[in-house]
Amino acid sequence: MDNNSSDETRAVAEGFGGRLNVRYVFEPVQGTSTARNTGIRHAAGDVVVFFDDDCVAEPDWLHHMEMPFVRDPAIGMVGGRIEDCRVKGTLVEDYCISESLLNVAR
Amino acid sequence: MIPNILATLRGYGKGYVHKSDASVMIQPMFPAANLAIRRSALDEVGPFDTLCRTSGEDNDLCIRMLRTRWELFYEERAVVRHKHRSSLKGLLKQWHGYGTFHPHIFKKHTPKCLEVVYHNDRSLLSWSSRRFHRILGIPVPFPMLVFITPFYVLHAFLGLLLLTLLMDGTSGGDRLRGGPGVWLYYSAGPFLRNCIGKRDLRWFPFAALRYLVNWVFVLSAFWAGVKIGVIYLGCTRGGECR
Repeated sequence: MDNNSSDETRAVAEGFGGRLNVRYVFEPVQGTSTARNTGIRHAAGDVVVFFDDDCVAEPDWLHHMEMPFVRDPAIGMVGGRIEDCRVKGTLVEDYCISESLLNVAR
Repeated sequence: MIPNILATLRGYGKGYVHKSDASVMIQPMFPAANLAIRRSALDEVGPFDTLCRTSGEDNDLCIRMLRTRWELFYEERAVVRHKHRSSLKGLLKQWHGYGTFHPHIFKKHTPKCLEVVYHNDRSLLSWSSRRFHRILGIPVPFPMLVFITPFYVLHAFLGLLLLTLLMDGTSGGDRLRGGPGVWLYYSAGPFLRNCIGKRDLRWFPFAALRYLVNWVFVLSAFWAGVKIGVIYLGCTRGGECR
């Protein structure tokens, strides 16, 4: 989903063409909900998985996200673990890591 | 409850989320950065709320899911690594965004009532509903949420300290003496203690950032709440103390 961003989203997404089964979708109306909803309309599978542009997935991530749905038909929603990653090493970034807000497992 | 027991018997019970009757703002939620939903469940609860422009859309969807028959499951093996904000401006903007949209979610899902929620500092459990406790749910003319956290207690302490100084020498001042000391132990202590415990020399700038982030969140949430007819005295959920 390109939510009207000014970086090279289109070029990056199309760079994966042929190697990955990805589709580039443009949503001019900015807003996380609008963008995710447009993604939902374009998704065709039985399970829709959401992921953000400021995250990096572990190699087996998608498999682990799918398994609970396969195992138990009563499960409607699955949340995964969000770990920190230290990129720039600024004071603010280290503060965020020390708070680890999104890491619900802690 | 029964699915939880069944799940435990099957050997993978750890991840089922307990559906509590706590305040909607402290219920367990999965951030949309790492979230999957079954198409049939999504069709049932509907898409993301577009009024949540920069944040809160995941809280809202999780709250709606918690009110259905569907189970919510936390899969700890599905890992993504999240890049945090690296600049002060980015961090404050992020918390301003949380503050702007949380009152909307609260209003949307809560009947007109006063909810007082306190933060259980000493709990070692996660920040989700188990670390917060709802102590009151009084009907009032408009939705109202008050978190009692070390952040607010700290300012109550500062107010009391100021009062003591102003009343110094009076009989009232004599009676207040010693009070602020006890108050400090229960407020600033928890607010700073865990930074100190980490043996990281940056505990002071971290505490200062935490203080600043709290102010940004509390003020933006209060102001956003006033605009939609909600009194929202919130708190940041990232450990006031951990």
